Amino acid sequence: MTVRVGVDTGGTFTDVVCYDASTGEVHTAKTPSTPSAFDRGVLAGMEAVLDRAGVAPDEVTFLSHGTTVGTNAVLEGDLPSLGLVTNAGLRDVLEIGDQTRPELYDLQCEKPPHLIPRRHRKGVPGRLDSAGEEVEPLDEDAVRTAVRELADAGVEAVVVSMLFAHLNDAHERRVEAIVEAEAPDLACARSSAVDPEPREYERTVTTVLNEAVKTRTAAYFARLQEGVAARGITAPLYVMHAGGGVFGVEEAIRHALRTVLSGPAAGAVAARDAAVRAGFERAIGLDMGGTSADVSLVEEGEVVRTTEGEIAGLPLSVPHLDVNTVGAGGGSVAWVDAGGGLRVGPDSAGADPGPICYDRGGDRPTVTDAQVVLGRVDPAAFRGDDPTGAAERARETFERELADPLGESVEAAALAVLRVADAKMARELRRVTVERGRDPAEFALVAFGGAGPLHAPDVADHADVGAVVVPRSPGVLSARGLLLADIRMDESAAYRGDGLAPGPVGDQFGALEAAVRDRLREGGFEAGAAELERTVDLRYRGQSYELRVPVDPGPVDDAALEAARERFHGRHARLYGHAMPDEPVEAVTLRVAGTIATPDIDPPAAAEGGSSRREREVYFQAGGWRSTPVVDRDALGPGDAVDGPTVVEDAGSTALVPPDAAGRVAESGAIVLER
Amino acid sequence: MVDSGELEIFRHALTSVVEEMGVTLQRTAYSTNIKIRRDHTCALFDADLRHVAQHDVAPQHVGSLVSVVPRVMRGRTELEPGDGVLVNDPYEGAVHLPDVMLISPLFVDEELVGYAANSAHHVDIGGPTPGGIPNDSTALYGEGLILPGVKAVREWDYDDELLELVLRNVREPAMRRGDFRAQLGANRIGERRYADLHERHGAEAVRERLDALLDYTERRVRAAIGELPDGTFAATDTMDGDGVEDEPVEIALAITVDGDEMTLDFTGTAEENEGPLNCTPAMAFAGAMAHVMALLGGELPKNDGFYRPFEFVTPAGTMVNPSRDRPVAAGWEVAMRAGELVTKAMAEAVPERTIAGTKGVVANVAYGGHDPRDDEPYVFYETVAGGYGARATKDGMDAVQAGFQNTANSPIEELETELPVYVRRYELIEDSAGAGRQRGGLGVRRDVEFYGERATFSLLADRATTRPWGLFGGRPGSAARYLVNPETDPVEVGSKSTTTLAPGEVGSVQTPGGGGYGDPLERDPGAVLADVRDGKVSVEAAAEEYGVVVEVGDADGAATVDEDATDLRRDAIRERRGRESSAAPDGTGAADG
Repeated sequence: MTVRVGVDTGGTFTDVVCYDASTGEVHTAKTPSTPSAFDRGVLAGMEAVLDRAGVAPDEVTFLSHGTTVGTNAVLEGDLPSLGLVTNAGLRDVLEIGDQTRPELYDLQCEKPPHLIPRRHRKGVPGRLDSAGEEVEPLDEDAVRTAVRELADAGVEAVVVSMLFAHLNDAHERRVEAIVEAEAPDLACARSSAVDPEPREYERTVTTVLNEAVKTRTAAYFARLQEGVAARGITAPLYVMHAGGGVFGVEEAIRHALRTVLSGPAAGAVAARDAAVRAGFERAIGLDMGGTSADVSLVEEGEVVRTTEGEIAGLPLSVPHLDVNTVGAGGGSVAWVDAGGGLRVGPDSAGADPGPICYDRGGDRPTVTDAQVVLGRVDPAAFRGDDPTGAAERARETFERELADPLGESVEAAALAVLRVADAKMARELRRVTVERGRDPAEFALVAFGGAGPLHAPDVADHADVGAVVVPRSPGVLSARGLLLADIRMDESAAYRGDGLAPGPVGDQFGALEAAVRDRLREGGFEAGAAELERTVDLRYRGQSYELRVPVDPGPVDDAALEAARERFHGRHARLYGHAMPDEPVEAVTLRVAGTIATPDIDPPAAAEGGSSRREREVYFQAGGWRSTPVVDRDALGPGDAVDGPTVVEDAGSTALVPPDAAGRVAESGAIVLER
Repeated sequence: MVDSGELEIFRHALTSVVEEMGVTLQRTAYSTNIKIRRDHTCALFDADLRHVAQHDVAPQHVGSLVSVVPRVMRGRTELEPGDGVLVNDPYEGAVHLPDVMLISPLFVDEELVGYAANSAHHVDIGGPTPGGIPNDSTALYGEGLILPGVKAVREWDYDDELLELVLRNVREPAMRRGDFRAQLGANRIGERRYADLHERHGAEAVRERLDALLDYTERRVRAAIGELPDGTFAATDTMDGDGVEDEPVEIALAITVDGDEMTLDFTGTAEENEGPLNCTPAMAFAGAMAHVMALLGGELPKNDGFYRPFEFVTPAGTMVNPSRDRPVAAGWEVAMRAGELVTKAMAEAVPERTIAGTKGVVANVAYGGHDPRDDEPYVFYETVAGGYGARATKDGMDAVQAGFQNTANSPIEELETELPVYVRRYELIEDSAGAGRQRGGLGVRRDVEFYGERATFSLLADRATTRPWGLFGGRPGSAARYLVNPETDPVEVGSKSTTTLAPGEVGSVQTPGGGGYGDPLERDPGAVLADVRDGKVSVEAAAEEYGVVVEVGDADGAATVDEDATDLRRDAIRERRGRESSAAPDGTGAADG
């Protein structure tokens, strides 16, 4: 028998999901997060869900956790004091960045943080060339002096990042050895170990942030692991990483930066699952909450991955699911500008005080309030003391701040707020798909999060997306992703060699595969059970952006490489409109991912009863107010038709089937809407 | 009547069209300058040649498209679906020759509904100097290939013969071909998406919404101008020279705010130059509007409605409106300063919104030669960041682009892979920032050593003889320096020069620091100390400029402020200033430098 538990910590709430394979039941709980010591909230959430499920702690067989502790440390700038050793003359690379201003038309803007002050950045002589060959020996005396100065200055760790270290780590290793000799108490992080990929600024930022997050999260994970054990849970604690998988606590500390942005990754994994189970191999995941929305992409049944990300304006180079966060959610504030135009955002009422209808002191009209004004959401869903009064205040505020200045009815103003928010979201969806050379019309939209299912039909309409999928329990879908995540380890190395030859490619893949197996073994997994997946980043010689293509398992011979080359030409043609089969192709980075699959969840899709149909007055653009059926999600089973207009209420989330849409419940239990 | 919700929805849909064009262009371009440095922009125009949307990437390109598209396309009734016009002719409304624009008419049901246009900076456009920035021509003909608005595309394909002619005239033709193809792909996406928009709303409704959008923009811009105090605000600045006669020349701007309208008048600007330090009105407009837009509020929509409340005066025969076929390669340097004059002139009117002088220089650098590693010729172009001007409550940013310019740098590993060079220094310059209660941003030094074979090191820059101004008592930032062999045998070279370097020689670009804002004696001594500890301000400058006495200990981090000595020193400086100002007539205006 297996019981799986997933805990997803957000800034405000901790979502917990428990799946009991023996009964097929899924239990969920939502408890307050505890920012002063997040582990307390996590443990409380676990206790709550086990209690609800009637499961004893020692019956838990799989425990995974998504955390924002690392993310918050970066976003809030709560980072330890670090030192940097780099090439002479280049210590300011970290501060100059890409030399752009973050805003084009803002005279008051600021650059992203530079992480390590200039006084703690030391340049030392020693150079490699672009082939990784030494052209100037490392000045070891200079390194010693630099390390002693940094130690005297009281830094907590030393980061070493030198040009072309992704091709040859000799100089960085020497620096590491000198740090160990001169300052044995100081940790040392090498860019060649953390992020062996080209581009010095990105590599340096990534290495610095990894070390910083590591320092900030190690104690948290240690406390949590203790707390889990103390509660009698014997299953190992797994941690969600941005690559859409989980790894052990040791790994989570070593590759700390990979835990950053893991929240959206869990959502993307769950969205993929919902899409594939509803029969869609291509989908856009839209996780819309109170303050932001996460957009992910599924192609050929897999979540799209990347290694180029961003946090706080800083570039991250870590393997991760490609999730784009948009600063628009239910809390986005609507206003009328000086030209008489209706605007939504960028200001947000956030989660606290939140929209007016939360009844927690919010007094600005938001997107969520518009849903309440139009009768689409029951104000009681927000659990305020006086839902009716809050709804009335929302209506009055819409009248005063939006409807009157615009010369429209309250309903027309609220409807316009929703449509503007949806048009903005649609623009983001289009950008994300078009950037990958795809047309949104080829995709289904998987809508989840508290606000996603309400907006999805209109967003899909604006973005020309055909179908909308609303999975079960959309409010806690991200936590569900934690139960579905595979064990996954990623390793990469810069390719050393000319062109693309079986010998060196085979040797280097072999080394990477060995490294992945070692890591799995260290984590207590059976390395032989892992599925190893090879990919290579290729480009035409002379280009500077690469495309990632798979390399077949089995021997790395001419046929395997030719197949990879063919995939590259094909992908290039799709993305860029042309290929150049006669041009030489070169490899930049080799990658290996090892995964141990986590079994699927197969909860009952059948109707569980729920309450009978009700009716509520809901406002629509066509026809105005109309009495609309409201059904409980639990009352719907596979094959049921849900014709518009209908409001579907689920715990923590409401879905809308518009008047001109027809929905049906798929075998998986998700509602699929089509127009 | 289009309601305001519909209008905002339409605006997002329209922006989506230009964003998709921009993404396509960037994704498919070949040259580092376009795909990594993002030196390009896409825009949409309606059937009446009104600018309706832009992709916010590079303001200089938008400003030029706004001028060139109406001028080149007006009256061209012969165009058919799938046609495209290439233009880079400054005297047809374009800018300098490397910025090549492709304009495609858009049709729906055989009816002309608008134009998709994009502009991209090509790294080479022919002419004597690799990298498209000749610095000593005395006529446009010496600056490269001129494309006067020629029909180069039919049925969404380049005319082969014409394209071959173009490519035979430029260096690295394969790279250029890829970039031209990317420009075409972008417009094609524009066509498809603009047609979708018509299909969704209907042609009549699109026209109605466009009218409403432009009117709405105009209302918002007028409201923003209306918040500024009325009056005429003037400023001048001096540029290094034109690279040929090379005498300092003055640029002048008077801004008149009258209710909800604004006039920008460049009367008083020096006559056109013999050398390439001239800009077309389109460039001056692009440069000035980038600053006007930032000053009025960056979130204002940018389209034809924006420009309606403005009058723009560029007297003929001056260096902001040269006579036909004068050279203009350095025009963006003029436009950069034309833009800076906006924030300088408006300093007294809106002191809390404006900024002190920024680096004030585009700093175009080009390298050309032969790569011994693959036996191929190479050409590379980049620009170097510098200090940003200090603000009323914030220091200027260190090492950023300024004004209309926001192109990224080339990663060092990329540069060293592409070219036979070592980047020896890429660092902030100590003491380059103008002192102030808020200090300016630091300038940047980039030293590049060439190995293997000799190479050309070309500069098309400025600000070597004047300094970015401070405001309200803030001190000016440092001037730029352009040198060869800065460490071994330093030789200053002109801001517009080409030097042939032997293997092992180094070209060094050292950009200006930004001007300071407010009296440096009012700066928090703790902030000065932090800068001293970071090597951004020297101990000497801390004492001289800020009156802050820093005691340096032996170990790192041991520096401290001697507070008593600082009080004494600041008093002494104030006293000295008092004596000097009673001996000399008071300076005028807010700017200092």
